[in-house]
Amino acid sequence: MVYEKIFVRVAVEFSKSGGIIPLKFWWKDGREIYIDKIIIRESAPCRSAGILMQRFTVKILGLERFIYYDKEKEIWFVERLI
Amino acid sequence: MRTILHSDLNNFYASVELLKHPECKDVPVVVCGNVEDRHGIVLAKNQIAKSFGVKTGEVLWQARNKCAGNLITFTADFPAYQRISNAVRKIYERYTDHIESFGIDECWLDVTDSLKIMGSGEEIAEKIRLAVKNEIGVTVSIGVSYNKVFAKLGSDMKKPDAITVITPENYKDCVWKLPAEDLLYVGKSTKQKLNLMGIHTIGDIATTDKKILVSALGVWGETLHRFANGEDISVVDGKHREDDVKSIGNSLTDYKDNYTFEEVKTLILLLAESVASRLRESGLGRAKTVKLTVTDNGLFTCGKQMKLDKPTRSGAEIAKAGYKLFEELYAWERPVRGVGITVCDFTMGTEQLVISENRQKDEKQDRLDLVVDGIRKKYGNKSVQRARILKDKKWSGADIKEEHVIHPKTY
Repeated sequence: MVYEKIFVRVAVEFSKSGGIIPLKFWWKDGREIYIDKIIIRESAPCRSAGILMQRFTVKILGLERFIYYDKEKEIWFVERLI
Repeated sequence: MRTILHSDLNNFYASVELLKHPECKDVPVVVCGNVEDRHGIVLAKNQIAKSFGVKTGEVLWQARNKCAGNLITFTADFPAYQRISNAVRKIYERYTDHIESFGIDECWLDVTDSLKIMGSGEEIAEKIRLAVKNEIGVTVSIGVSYNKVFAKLGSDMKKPDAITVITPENYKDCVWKLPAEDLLYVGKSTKQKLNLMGIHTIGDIATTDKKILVSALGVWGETLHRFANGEDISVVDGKHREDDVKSIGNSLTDYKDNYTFEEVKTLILLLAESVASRLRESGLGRAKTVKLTVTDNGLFTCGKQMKLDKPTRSGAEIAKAGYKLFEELYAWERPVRGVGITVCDFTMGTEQLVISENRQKDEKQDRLDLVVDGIRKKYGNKSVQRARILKDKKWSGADIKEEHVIHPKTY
């Protein structure tokens, strides 16, 4: 299975302790997609190309999804199966 | 009894490249110095390339032939490897602060003091194995034992992504049957000497009379006898002792074979500059001894060291000593593939005043080196370079100081 990255614009909040919390992101067509809940934030490899990612397991419209943050490049992305 | 872990990242460079290029995970992959260079050599390979018989140190075309042209090659990306190595070390730090690096992909961990809270050595190893796999995406082999030498042997026994436990009860069964050259610091020449004496396995070393080994190998004979019997007592050089640097060294493997002294001189100068710069940064004063190691294209390594007339921290002086050592050491039976320069025996800031005609010249050189350091700090290590290095395009683009650090060793 080969995945590709889709880079997204993300609105985030910084917690009092400095943690970064994604709130919503914008899809390619401009739609706003709200993150209902963050289940876990962890270091984990992504399925597309890249090293040392932060992976947020989130709930969007009742579905569990991954959204990744590349700390080094300061970019956010989701993945799509090709 | 101590509990020591030795953790070895499997096919490290190739594994990192597969994270960067997941589409290549089902094909043979090798990492080499420079893909465009047809003389490029294999620095690492993935499991599939290994199954085709590809070996580290092989020339690229040989590896290509073995894989029937299906081989994918990547140029080594040392900054990425270093970043992953640092991230893995952070995982080790959850369990102990007694961590000693051995190259970029291997570490010893002394977890004796963590056993009460974290579980047995094997349990800690299992936690580390899972964390590295799940968080970073690469695999480790871990050896668990009661001394560093057996822990290292353990990490080599089962690969990849596995744990091996060597205890005082089972070491004779699992360690003694291994070939002698598997033991730490038994290189090609020691192996030959041992074989001539009829010693072929680690068990043979352990059961041979110590005096016989000493007569053949000198003081190393006794050390190897101790290693083979599980009596190695060397400590894991932890964080708290990392300031206690005994030597500073850099080494590099060239992309191609070097046939002339002039070519080797460039390598030595490049390394001497890097080592000198790190020495000046370290605040350890000047070095009194320079060591040189040379690796030929059969990956056989030999070395020699010399005391300097006066302690130095200048790249030019270290290089000069390196040239002299090379001329004395190397007989040019084969072309040169790699060189390493190490300085040790530091003055620690207290220096004897040398009355010499060259004192003014030395001081001037010292000031010049400091200015060059300042420029490099501000604009990068490649901003000021020696003309000799500029002549070779490949090396003028390399940042040896940042990319090829060799970590201090305890032995």
